[in-house]
Order: sequence, then C-alpha cells, then structure tokens
Amino acid sequence: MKRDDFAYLLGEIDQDLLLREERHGGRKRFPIRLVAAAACLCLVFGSVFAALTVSPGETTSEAGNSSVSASENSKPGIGDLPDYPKGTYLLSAEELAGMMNYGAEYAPTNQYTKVYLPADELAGSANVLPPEKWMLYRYPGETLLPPDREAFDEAFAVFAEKAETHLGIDPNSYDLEEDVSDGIHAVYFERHADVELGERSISAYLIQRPMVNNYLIWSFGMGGDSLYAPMELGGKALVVDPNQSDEEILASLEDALSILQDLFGVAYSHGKVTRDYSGDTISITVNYFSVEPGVTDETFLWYWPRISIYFEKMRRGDSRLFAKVIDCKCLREGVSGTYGEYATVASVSLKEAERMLEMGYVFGGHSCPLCMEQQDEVDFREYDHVELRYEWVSVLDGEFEEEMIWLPFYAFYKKLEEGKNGICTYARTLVPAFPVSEVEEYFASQTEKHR
Amino acid sequence: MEDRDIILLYNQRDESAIGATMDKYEPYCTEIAFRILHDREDATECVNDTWLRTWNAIPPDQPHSLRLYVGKITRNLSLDRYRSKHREKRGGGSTAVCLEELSELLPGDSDVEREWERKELASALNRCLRELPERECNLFIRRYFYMASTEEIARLYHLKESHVYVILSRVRKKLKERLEQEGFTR
Repeated sequence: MKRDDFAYLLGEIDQDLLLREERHGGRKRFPIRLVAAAACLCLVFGSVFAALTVSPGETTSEAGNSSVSASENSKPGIGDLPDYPKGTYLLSAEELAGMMNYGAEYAPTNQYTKVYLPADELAGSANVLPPEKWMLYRYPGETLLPPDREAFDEAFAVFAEKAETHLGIDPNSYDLEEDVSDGIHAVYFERHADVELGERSISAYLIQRPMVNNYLIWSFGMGGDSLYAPMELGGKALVVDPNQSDEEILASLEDALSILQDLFGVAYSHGKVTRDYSGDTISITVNYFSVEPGVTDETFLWYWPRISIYFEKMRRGDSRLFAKVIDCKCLREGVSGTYGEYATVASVSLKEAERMLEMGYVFGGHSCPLCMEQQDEVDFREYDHVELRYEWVSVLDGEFEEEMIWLPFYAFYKKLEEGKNGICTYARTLVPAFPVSEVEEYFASQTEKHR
Repeated sequence: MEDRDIILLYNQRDESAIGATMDKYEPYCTEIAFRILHDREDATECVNDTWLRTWNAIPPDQPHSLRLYVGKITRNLSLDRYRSKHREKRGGGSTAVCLEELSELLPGDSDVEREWERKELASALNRCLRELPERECNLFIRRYFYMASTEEIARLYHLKESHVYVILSRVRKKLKERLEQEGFTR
C-alpha cells in the first residue's frame, strides 16, 4: 500500500470520532484564555533568557522588605540529593532528540536557531564553568491537584477585595467561567472582570490551575485587545527604562511591588530582571520570587511561585517600556514549596562539548528539523561565543503524560550578521552539558536516514 | 439552513442545495483543501469540484453530518490533486511531511490489494483509534485527517509543539502495533 493510499484511508475515519475531535480541537475558545496563555509564554521565554545573565551562585538584590515564609524558602541542599536513577547517563541521544521536539525519525544534525542579540549582551554573559554536578529538577506531577471550587471561591474573595482597592475593579462585575473538560492540565475555574478607566481598561483574572492559583492583570487601550495601554499602580504608570541597570529598575519598582504583594497576598520579594531581544525590540520581565534565584533552577519553572511584570514597548519609537501584563502564581494549598524531585547528574566539560560540536553532535533547538534543512549551514567550529543555558524539554511518561524538566546545555553562538541598530543575528546550537549515551550511533543512524 | 433541510433539497434535486452548501461550508472546505495543497487556486478548484461531487452523491447517500461529508470529499479531491501534481517530484511541503509520518503505519503491499481488504483496514483503524485516549485520538485526527500543522495543533490543544510531536509519535507507534496485531503487517 502506498503512503498516499493510506492518507485516503484516513478519510474513512468514523464520523463520531471526527465530531468528537471537532468538539475539542475545532471549537472556538474563549479569546482571553489564549491571551492569558500567550502571556504565560512571554513570561516563560523571558525566564529562559534569564539563564544567559546569571552565574551559578549569583543572587540579585532583594527588593521590598517582606518576609518569606519557611515553607516557601525550603530548598534541598545539593549534598542530600540522590543521583538520577538512570545512572551515569541521564538519557540516550535518541531520547534527548525525542524530548527536544523532533521525533527520532528526524535528524537533529547541523541544526541551529536564529537569535537576535546586541553583541555586548553576549560579551557580558560568558559563563562556561559547569558545576561538578548538576542539580536537576523533575516535575513528577504527583502534586497536581484536582479542581476545587470551594478553594477557588475563597482565593477569589480575597483577591476581589484587593482588586477593588488597587485596581478600581468592582468585584460584582466578575464573571465566572468554568472549564473542566480537557483533563488535568487544562482544568481551571476562571473569573474575570473588565473595567474602563478613561482611555484604558483593565482585566483581572484568577485561574485555578493544577498546582497554582494564577492571577493575571492586563491593561488594554481603547482600540481593543491588540492595543495596550500603560498600566498604573498607585497612581503611577508602570514604566521602566531599558538603559537602567537591573538594580535601578528594581529600585524604581519598590512601590509597585508593595502594592502587588498586598494585591496577591504574598511576600515574594527576591527580584530578578531578565531582558529579551527579538529583532530590534527589547522586552523586560521583572520576576519576584520567594527564594533567591539561581541558575540551576527551580525558579525558572513555569509554576514556580512568583510575581512577574512584563514590560514592552507601546509603539516602535518608544525608549521606555510599559507594563503590559502582571502575572502572579501562588502554590495551591496542598502543594509543597518544592513539589518536585531533585537529583544530581555529572556535568560535561567544555572541552568535551567542543568535541561534540566539531563532530556535529548538536541539538539545534526547538525548531522543525525539516525547516532547518532549508537554512544555510553554519560552521560552528570557529564559534563566537559559548555559555551555559537551560532548555525546557518535555518528557511524556506514564499516566501523567507530560513532565517538564530543565536540562543544561552549552549554547554555542556564531554571528551571522549585524544590523544597523547594533542587534546581531546569531546562529545558536546546543550540546548537552550532561552525559548522553549512544551519541555516535544515533547521529550515524540519522545521517543514514537523511540520505 | 439546517443540514437536514439542505439534504432534503438534494433529495428533491433542487439546485439551490448547492448554493446552501456553499454558503455554509465553503470556508471549512477551503481550509481543508488549502492545508493539503498550499495553493489558493488549486484549493478553490477542489472546493468547486466538491459541490458537483456532492450533488452526484446525494441521493443515494444520506450523510449524518453534511459538514463532515463535504469535508471528506474535499479532502479526497485535494489528495487527488496533490498526488497528480507531485507524482514526479516527491518531497517538500507540510503535506509531504504528514504523508511521510503516516508511512510508518503502512501495511505491506500484499495485504490490501483488494477493496474488501481495504475496508477491513479502515475498520481496524477505526477500532484502534477508539482504543486510544481521547486526546491522543483527537490529535491524530487533527493532524492526519485535517493535515493541520503541529504548531496549529499546539495552539488548539494548549500544548507545547514539542508535546504534539511526541504525542503523535507515540500514537503512530501504538497504531502500528495494534494494526500488526490485527494482522496488517508490513
């Protein structure tokens, strides 16, 4: 049977199965939910970028003066951690390729991702001294909680009162959306309200997710959801200047942080500024964590408790960045402060990583490998820059289906071109900074498949 | 107009049935055709052919869902056109990627040469799909029936694109094993 024939055969899938799929995949979603998801992505990508700018053991200045509860601050010492159960090698090359987007049938050789960065940004962030062992986090899923309407209502009541005080939102205007249809990872209750304030409107949400209560605040302009308006807190616009240092930015936001701590009822106070560049656009995310952020690390996890403020240009010519989204994630009751498992695994030296790079044993990034084949090949042997970086990869495992884990990589950069605005285009490719088995065999088999 | 009213028009051989179907399902069919062909002109022609094919098929056919019925016709016509355009030159484009992924599931040549065997295979496939968890089945359908991109599926199902890849890979493997158990071996 030819493969095209099989495609025809799929036209004979039973109608009830097609209809069932349409009810889920084909249906239109409540639009703001997509917006909220986009915000999460923005914040996650911002967080990923943080790995570029922080060294192991480095901490940032503390903003605000609130105390942190003991449970929030608990963090296991690396000496107490078990080794990864798989032994010396955390993964095989084939398993790693499978976790990084491409199925095992596609070759990840000679792949890279294009990134846009000012040249001095790279020059200031070199960090190629791996620890003796990596402390890795596993997201076991065991602390995922089912939806709890009562707990949601309690959390909402507290938030609504504060929202009225700080944002001028009438709690009675909140609508409740319930969606428990898509399995544990998309189960949430959601309440939202919009309020007009002159030329802008604010929307606020509480979404109950499997591990966290997720608060989101958006500010929109008169033109609809695509036009953002400067957000204000305490009568002051939330604005940052990207030319300021991290410390200056954190200092300028102290008043806003106090309001946000009150609004969300949390004491997260360890501030960290992350900058992200895309073309000629810069965005800044300021995160406030319950524990001091490090590079390893749990604090970059999507669900790690934090307050995040996402700043972006309002229009092309702006020199300052305006707050577009405020996002707060608080652990739900019953989820532990660390709610994950940690384990250690040996690290790979830069020399060994360079050897893999030279051999073409690279894992280019989260992009379609077939598309990557259409890119010009980049010779990374004379790379411009290298640093350690965490990549968020997924593992599908057993009943919980998806686990997320941060894995450390050497990121090698090769400059492709420099724009007039000083932003450079780099090709970035990744070599695992942890032991991977069966590398040569895997890449040989992939090369063969590509022929 | 409700589907049953449109089908009644077909049964009465009333040509306004075609206009009513076009009004209701042209965007849907165009989307299906464009996903396969990636060419606006070709997609439009396939959709136009769909109306004629539907007119010729109802009656005797009495579809339960007119939407899916015309969608399937568009899909087959689009695959025809795709095949004729790519007969000489294989590869390239997202449809080719989709078909390549499906090739993992292909039974051997000798198994489905006859029409009844082909129907058996279709039945087996439906049985296997029913045994899958609902979300896996849905993702499979969205990818290989509608030929949606993995990016689009990720958006629809609120998954990371990498999860979509891995889930689809797992589903293909499961289906292959199940089809082999049913006797459709490579």
